[in-house]
Amino acid sequence: MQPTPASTAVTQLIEGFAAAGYIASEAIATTVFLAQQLQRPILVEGPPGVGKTELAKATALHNDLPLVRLQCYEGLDESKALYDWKYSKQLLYSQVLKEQLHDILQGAKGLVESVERLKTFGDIFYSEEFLEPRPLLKALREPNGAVLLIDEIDKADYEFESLLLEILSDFQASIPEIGTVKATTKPVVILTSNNTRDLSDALKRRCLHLYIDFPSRELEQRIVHTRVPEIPESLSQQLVSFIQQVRELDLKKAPAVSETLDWARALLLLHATSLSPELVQSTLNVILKFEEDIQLVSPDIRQLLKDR
Amino acid sequence: MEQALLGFINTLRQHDVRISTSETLDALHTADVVGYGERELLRNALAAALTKTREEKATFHRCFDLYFLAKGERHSEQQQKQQESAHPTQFELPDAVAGDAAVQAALSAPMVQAAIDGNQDAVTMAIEEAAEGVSLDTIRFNTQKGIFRRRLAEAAGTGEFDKAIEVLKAIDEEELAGPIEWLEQQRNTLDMAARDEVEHQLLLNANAAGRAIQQQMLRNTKLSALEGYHLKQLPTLIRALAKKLATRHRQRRRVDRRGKLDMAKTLRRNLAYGGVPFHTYWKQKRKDQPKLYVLCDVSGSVSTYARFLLLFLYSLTDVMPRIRSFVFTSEVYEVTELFDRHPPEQAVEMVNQKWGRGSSDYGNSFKHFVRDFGAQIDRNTTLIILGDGRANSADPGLNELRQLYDKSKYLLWFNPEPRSAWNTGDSEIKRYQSACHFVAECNSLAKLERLLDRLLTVLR
Repeated sequence: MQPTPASTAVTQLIEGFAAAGYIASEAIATTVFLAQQLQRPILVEGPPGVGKTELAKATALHNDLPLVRLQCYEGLDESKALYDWKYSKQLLYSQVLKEQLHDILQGAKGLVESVERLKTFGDIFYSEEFLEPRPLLKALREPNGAVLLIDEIDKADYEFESLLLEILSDFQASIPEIGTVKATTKPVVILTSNNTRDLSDALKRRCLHLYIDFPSRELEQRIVHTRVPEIPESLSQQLVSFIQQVRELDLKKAPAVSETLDWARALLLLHATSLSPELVQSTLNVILKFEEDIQLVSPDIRQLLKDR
Repeated sequence: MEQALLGFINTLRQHDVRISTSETLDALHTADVVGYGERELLRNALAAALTKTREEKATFHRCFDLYFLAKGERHSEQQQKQQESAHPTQFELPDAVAGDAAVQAALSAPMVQAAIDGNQDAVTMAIEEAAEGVSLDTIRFNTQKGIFRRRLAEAAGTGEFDKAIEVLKAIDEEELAGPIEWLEQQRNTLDMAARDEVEHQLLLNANAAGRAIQQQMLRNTKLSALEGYHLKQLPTLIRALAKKLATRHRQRRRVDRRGKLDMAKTLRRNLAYGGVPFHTYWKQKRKDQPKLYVLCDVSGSVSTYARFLLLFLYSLTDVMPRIRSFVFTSEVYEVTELFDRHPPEQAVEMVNQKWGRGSSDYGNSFKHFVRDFGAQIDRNTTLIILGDGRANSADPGLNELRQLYDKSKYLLWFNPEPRSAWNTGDSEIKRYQSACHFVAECNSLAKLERLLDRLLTVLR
């Protein structure tokens, strides 16, 4: 069958990501392609450590755009996310201008005339000059566009989501004193969430949704190869197969891709060429972060190494 | 193709995937961008545009297979069948009647003509168009099958065949027996295609419609009357109800949070800037954190209710104050920790297994509760007691209850028995009523939801 232009674009995107060091599944690439075509934000969900943040970095690298990152936390508000006024500069200028005021008002008779004269100068203190752009505004004003990463949106308050709505749907922000700031070039927006709470429907509706799960064995193998190219083939196979099996156990926190990579690097440092039960036992704390989990897996190491 | 996409979205909606109009537009754009050429590409793209949670994605993939794959396969199957049946005999009209104007008119009706030309796609198209015409996608129940089949077949053009057959029969010539039989055969093929289409659509719809009715029913039936299968479905429903309540009550807090400007403090703190208020301070009424204590009877007769009350309450932790929960039959046990460590559904199971037996002894239980936890009950505490108030003719523990009543902010009694059964037999509810702020009947989810809604309103 003749490949459609869209599917060629998706394939190119997968290759582009691979060149940027990110192995993307077809679903991921399709979503990113769509987001660029439809100019929609992407909401990425999934367990921690599967490469949600990496996706944004790779997108920025692939498109050669600056990455603007906003890390969310409880209590994050407008003045830290969108814009703030440079208070001290305003104060300083107001002191300096006090002197000038006299000259301007010279010859004016009465209060009404003075006010009239002042009016002609406009609102200097609340102008672009005194505006301190925060990540959201910065991304909007980036002349060639940017990749805006809003990380862990689920950590921010409920109210913050409402603040985002205008930016996400129209790529503009309203600043009461100045007016509406429109994006010069619409940024690619990627939001990530660890699903610690439900996001509002209004936010979800404006986004394309992408769920990144733990990768399949074959995909994970390729990820290990790309990120840790020095690792011998047989070791990486053993390692990925072990991790994949561990994920199926009832763990408090299943090892993620980032842990697989950490482990691969650790084993490389130890000059290991294959996995032995003793080696696994002594390095298990690299992939498992809870004592209970380690105790659960320890007795079965031999078994897990045997069957693949 | 657009029509197919809209039909698909409708199917998704019936499977509880919430899709708004703007998302529908997104889906149409998406399809424009990626095209209909490659199935996997379309699948991934639509999944991104239409579904917003992991569960919805799973539903989406199931529906996608059912809707698009099944449709394609069915059509090729149909065509094969038609080809097999159509090929052996060709439609041939004896010359004697070929010139007859009435015959010609009847045979040139679009569907009949298409059949004579051997145009197989025409049947598929006609069925599809007809399905839209009779709004087949509204079919919900098995009992509607007959009527929809008849309507669909008629709209697809069986009537044209009937007419043609009638005209030929009227001529009454022996040579026409073959053509008449052939036409009847074609008519039946069309009728069968209509039947298949109805069956398929019903398969897509029936489950969803049934579920909607079932949920409505579940909300209003007495919880004790529910059997195993339905009991399993309740937690999902409870979660959905709790989510709705939580959203409603969360919004109110947003408005409350900011107080009035604290002038004195703002001026004092901004002295350094010559009194220019760069930093503002807000006066907030400090409300003491409300506390919620729940005391559940888990003896045989009411344990089901205790289960759902606890499940409901713990699904509301987002907006509820911190809950401490206790269960009793003849003695009181605190189960807060169980709920802290396990997901609510599991914790409820454990509670039931461990303590859910025996008959209730209110007197003893209240006495224990007052002794062990009475000191912690204060003006900020709301205490909910769930029980049927049947003291088995033993000491009802009224004095202890009155102590709790005096100390607490609210003492609410949720009684799972219907109002008509109160004060009959060994029920002491009337006496308890004198020592409670409010006694409510709560034996269905709908009632429980209403009660908790009011509770949330007074708690903050």
